[in-house]
Amino acid sequence: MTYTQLAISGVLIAALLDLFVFRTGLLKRRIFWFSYGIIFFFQLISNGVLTGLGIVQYDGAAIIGSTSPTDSAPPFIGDGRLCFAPVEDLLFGFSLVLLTLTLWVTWGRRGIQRNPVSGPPRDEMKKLLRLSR
Amino acid sequence: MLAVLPVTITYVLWDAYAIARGHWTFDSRFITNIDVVLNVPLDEVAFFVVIPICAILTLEGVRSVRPDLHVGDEPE
Repeated sequence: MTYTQLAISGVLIAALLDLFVFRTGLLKRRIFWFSYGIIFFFQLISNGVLTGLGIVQYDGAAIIGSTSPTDSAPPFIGDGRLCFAPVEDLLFGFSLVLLTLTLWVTWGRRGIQRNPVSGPPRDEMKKLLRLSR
Repeated sequence: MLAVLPVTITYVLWDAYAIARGHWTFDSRFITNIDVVLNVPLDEVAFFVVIPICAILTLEGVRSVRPDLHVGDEPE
């Protein structure tokens, strides 16, 4: 299979696991999309460095765009790329993040949580937010 | 560990397949050139440990500043 096909399959499998197998429903939660938005931004930067400098190079037969040039940077945008990296990388990253968080929430539901839970005490935080409104 | 390790294994296998099929290659001037398993460089294995941790820390970070948003694993 090509990277394009694998990347799309990866997203579909991760979505299937989230919605129907582990039933974490992260795709339906705002907090997931908030978090993914932050990750997406930083992925564009870090992946842009890896691909823009040619540290990782891609075979045109496996992606929508063409083979990474050996003597120069690939296009910043266009030819199936965004911020130097093939768009397939975004699907790859999305499935990686979704799968990780699906497992994280699944274990969390089974009572495997850090104690105390992360962040400031939640009741106090809610009080603070109410005061500030 | 329980959430990160299965992801690391899965994506290292994907990486191994992609490297074997030539989907992507690494410039040897920029990597450690230490192969861990199935021709997957140490750098890539580290990537598939660090990035899932980043994802979890991002989610937990958002959770702590936005307690009104639910993740779905809140103890009741």
